[in-house]
Amino acid sequence: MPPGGHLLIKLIEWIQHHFDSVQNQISELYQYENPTEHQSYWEVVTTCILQGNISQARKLLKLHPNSSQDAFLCLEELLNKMPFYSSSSTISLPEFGLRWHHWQSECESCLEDGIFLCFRNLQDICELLCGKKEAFIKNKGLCQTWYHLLVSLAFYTNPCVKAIELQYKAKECIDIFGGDANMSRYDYILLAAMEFNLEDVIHRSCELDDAWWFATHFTDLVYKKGNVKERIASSLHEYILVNYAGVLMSHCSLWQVGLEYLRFCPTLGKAHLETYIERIPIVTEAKAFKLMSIANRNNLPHVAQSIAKAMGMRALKHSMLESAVSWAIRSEDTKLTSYLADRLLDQYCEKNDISCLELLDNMGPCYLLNEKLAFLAKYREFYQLYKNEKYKEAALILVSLISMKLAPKKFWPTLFLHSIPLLEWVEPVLSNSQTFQLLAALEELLACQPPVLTLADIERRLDINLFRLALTRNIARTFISEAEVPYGSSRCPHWKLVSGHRGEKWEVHAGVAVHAQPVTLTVHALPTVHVTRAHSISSAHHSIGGSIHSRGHSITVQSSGHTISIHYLIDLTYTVAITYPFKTNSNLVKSLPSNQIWARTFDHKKFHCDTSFVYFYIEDIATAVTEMHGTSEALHWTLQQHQTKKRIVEALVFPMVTYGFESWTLSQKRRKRIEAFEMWTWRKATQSAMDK
Amino acid sequence: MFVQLTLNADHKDLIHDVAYDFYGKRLATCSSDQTVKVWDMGEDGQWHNTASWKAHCGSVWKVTWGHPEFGQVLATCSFDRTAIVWEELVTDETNRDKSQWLKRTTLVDSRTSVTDIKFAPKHLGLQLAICSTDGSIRIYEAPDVMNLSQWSLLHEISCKISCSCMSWNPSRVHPPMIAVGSDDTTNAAGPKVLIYEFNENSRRWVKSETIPSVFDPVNDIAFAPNLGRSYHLLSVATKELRIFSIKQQRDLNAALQTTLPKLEIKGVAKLEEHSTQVWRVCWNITGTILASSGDDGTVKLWKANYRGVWKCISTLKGDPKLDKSLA
Repeated sequence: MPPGGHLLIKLIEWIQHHFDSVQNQISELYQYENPTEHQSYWEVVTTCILQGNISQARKLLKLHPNSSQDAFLCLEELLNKMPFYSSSSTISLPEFGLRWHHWQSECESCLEDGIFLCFRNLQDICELLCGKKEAFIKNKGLCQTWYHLLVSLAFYTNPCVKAIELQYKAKECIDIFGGDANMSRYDYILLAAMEFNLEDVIHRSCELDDAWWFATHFTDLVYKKGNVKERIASSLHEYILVNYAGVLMSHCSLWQVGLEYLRFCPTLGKAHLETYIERIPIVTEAKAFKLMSIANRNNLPHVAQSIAKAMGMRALKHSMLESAVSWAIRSEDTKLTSYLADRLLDQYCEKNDISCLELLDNMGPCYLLNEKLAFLAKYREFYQLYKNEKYKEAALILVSLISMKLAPKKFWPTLFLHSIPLLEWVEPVLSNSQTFQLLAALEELLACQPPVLTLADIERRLDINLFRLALTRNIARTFISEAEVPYGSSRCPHWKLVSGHRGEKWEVHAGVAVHAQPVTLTVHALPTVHVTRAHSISSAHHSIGGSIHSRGHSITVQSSGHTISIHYLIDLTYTVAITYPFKTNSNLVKSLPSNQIWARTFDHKKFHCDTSFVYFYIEDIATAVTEMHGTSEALHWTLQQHQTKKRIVEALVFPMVTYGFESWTLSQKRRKRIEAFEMWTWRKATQSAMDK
Repeated sequence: MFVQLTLNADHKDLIHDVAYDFYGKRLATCSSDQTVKVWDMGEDGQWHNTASWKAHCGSVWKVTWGHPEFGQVLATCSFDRTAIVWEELVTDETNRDKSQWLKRTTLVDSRTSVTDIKFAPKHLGLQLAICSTDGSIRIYEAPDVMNLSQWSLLHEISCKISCSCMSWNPSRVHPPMIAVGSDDTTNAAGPKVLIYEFNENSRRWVKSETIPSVFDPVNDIAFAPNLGRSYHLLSVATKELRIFSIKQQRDLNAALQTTLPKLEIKGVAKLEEHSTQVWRVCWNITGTILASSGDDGTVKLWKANYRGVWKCISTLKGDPKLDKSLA
C-alpha cells in the first residue's frame, strides 16, 4: 500500500492526463491578444487549481493586469508556499501533514481577513485552497466527473489520503454528481476498483461491449503483478484471454494477433490454436504456407499436415498435379504422396514433358519419403546429366534405376527409349554388362505375368525392334571395345565367325590364338542360330560331367577325345549344344580342373543374366592350354587386324546365343523374333561379305 | 448485434437443413423439393448460388460437408431411403459461377427414411454414419480416400427406436463415440438419447449409456468440439434446450478392463427460453457458444460464464419486413 501522499501524486497525475482539455484552453488563452479578458480565463485558472497544477495557475494569475494588487500578491504567496509531497522529498508523511495543516490555516486566516473580498474569483480560489466543500460543489461543472471531484477534493482536504479511504469519499462525490442514476458502466468499474473489489471489477468489465478488450488486459495486468494479494485464478485469466482471442480470431486480419494471445493460455491454448488455425480459410498458397509455418511454430505439425493435405487435394481437383505432389510431400502423407507420384508418372509417360518434374529440384531430401518420388528425383538427375552431355553418368543412373528395381515396370519402356540414343552414341556409353542388364529387363518386362503393360502399350511408346537392335549393336561394340583392354582373367574372348549358313552348322572360333590353333566352338543351330532339336544332338561323345540340373534347364556335358560338348536343354523340344573341339592335345580334358570349372560356372550368379559362363569356359580352357604350353602369349588378342563390320556381326551372334539359352523359354512369338533377328544378322553378314 | 442477410434460396418447398463447410465460406441447403443447392461466398461478400440439382426422389433431410482433406465432398440423406455422397467436379477455374456435383455413391442399405447423416471426425479417416427411422445406425468407410465411389459398410448398429438425429463426438483422445436422438412417440417413458461407443477390443459399437431425464422427442443433438476439456458437452434439442456433460470415469486399473469405462452424465443446463419446441442446435468451433433455433421464430445464442452457468447472450429474430420485400 503506497503512502497517502504518494497516492495523491499518482491520482493528480491521472487526473491531469485524463482531463487534458485544459491544456488546449491554456494555449488558446496565450494566443489571445488579452488573455485575462478571455471569457474562460477564470475557468482555466480554477481548473488548474482543481487539478493541482499550481505553477500553471500562478503563471496565469501573473498575466492579470491587477496582479500587483495586494489580493493577487497574497494569493501568489499562498500558492508559492503550498507544501508539496513527493516521493523524493526528505520530509516524512506526518511532518508533511503538519506543514499542510499549517499552510491551510494560513489560507483560512487570509480568507477571514477579507483580503479577497474585492475579487470574487480570488475568493473562490482561496476557498478551494481551504478545502471548503461548498466551493467544490460550486465548481463541480469544471470537474466534469465525480472522480475528478474526488481527487480535487482529496487534494485540498486530505492530502495524506489512503487508498482504502477513497471509496467513502467516492460515494460523497457520486452523490454530488447525481447518484447512481448517472453512473456509467465504467464509473462502476472505477468505483469497484476503489473498493478494492477485484472480482467485481473483472465481472463488470466482462460485461462491457468492448469485446473483452478491457477485461483481458486488466486481468492480465493484475495476473502478472505478483505482489498483489488477490491473485486471480489462472483459469479465470485464461477464460477471459480465450474469449478475447476468440473475438480476434473471427476477424479476417486480426487473427494473427489472436494467435499470440492464445499462445499464452497454458491449458486451453493449444487446443484452441489447433482449431482456429485449421479453420482459417485458405485463399492463396501464400496463406497456406503462412498457416503451416504458424502451425509448426506452435508445435502443431498435424495441423500443418492437414492444411497441406487439403491444399494437395484442391490442387489435384484442379488438375494441378505437380502442385498437388508438392503439397502431398509437405503433408507427409505417404499414401497420398504415393498415389500422386503414380499419377505424376503416368502423366509423364503420356506427355513426355520433363517440366513437370522440375518441382523435384527444390524439394530437398523429402522425396526420400516415397520410393516413387525417389525414382522421379533420380530420373530427373539422369535427365540433367543427359542434357549436360554427361552420358556415362547418365547411363549409370539409367541402368541402376532398372536393375535396382527403383523404376516401376510400367515406366521401363520410357527408360528404354531414353537408352537408345545412349546405346547408339558414337562411342560406347553403356558397358557390356549394362547392356545385358537392359536386355534382361526388356525380356523381364515382356515375360512378366500378369503383364504390367500389354505389348501394344509398350509398342506405342517404344519401338521394340529398334531397341533390340540398339542393344545388340552395343553389345557387339562393347565386346570389342572392352576386350581391347585386358583386365585379369575375366575378360571376354573374341569370337570369330568362321562359316555359317542358315540351316547349317555355325562354327565360331574363339579368338584365343594358341599356337595358331584356335579353340573352336561349334554351335549346332537348327533351325535357328542357337537352338537345335533335341534329337539332333550328336551323342557320340562320352560324357565326362554327367547332368546338372539348374532352374529347370538340363545341362549335359559330354566329351570325346577332342571335343567337349555342353548341351543345354531349354525345354523338351529345344536344346542348345556347344562343342569345344580340341585338336592339339587329347589329354587336355583330363588335365582340366573340371570340378573347379563346373563350380565356377554354375554357382555363379551371372548364370541367369549374362554370358559370362561361356567366357569362363573358353577362358579356362585357354588358360589350361596356355599352362600346358607354358606361354602367356596365348592371351594376346589380335583384334585390331579384323574388319570392324565383320567384328560386329561376329559379336552379334554370340550375345543372342548365350542370352538365348540363359533365360528364354521359347514361345512362338519369340521364335519369330529370333528368326527375324537371325535374318537380320544373316543379311548383315552376307552384306559384309559382299562388301569385301 | 447481428445483421440480417436474406438469401432467396428459391427452393420450392421447406428447407430442412443448411450446412456451412469447414471454413464457413460455402453453404449447402436441402429441401423437400428434392434438390440441394450450394452457395459460395463471393469476393463481394455476397452468397452466390453455384450449383443446384435434384439430388433425391424424396425430401432431402440433411446435408453435410466432408473435411477439405478429402476434397469438396457433400453427403445428403433423404426420405427416399438413400444417402448419397457427392463430389464437386472442378471444370474451369475461371467460371466459378457454376460448378458441377457428381454423384459418387448411393448408400441404399437402409429400408426406411434416412434421417441424419454425419461424417466422422477426420482422425477416424473417411467415415460416414447414417441413421434411419427403422432404428439403425450404419457406419460406412471409404478405404481409399481417392476413390469416393467405394464405400464399405463397416458397422450396423440397431438402436431399436426410430432415430431422428445423431452426432459424432469430435474428441481425438477418446474412442469413437456417437450420440443418437430419437423422436419416437410410441414409448413415452423410454429414454430418447443413446450413447454408443466403439470398443477397440471387440471392434464393435456398444451402447454405453442412455441419458436419463430426456423423455420428450429429440429433434437435434450435437457434441461440442472438445478443446482440451476433460469432459464432453452434448446439447439436446427437445421441447427445451438441454446441455449435458459426459465424463469418462478414470479407472485406475483401466488396463485390466475389458469393457469401456463408465460414463458419468450430468445435466449442465436446461434452458427453456424458447418456450416452444427447439429444432436445431449447433456449436461454434470452440464449443463455447451454442446456437439453437425454436418454434418461436428465433435463434438464440448461449454461452457459459466462467462459473459454468449458461445464459442467453443474444437472440436473433428475423425481420419479417426484410423477408417480405424479397418475396
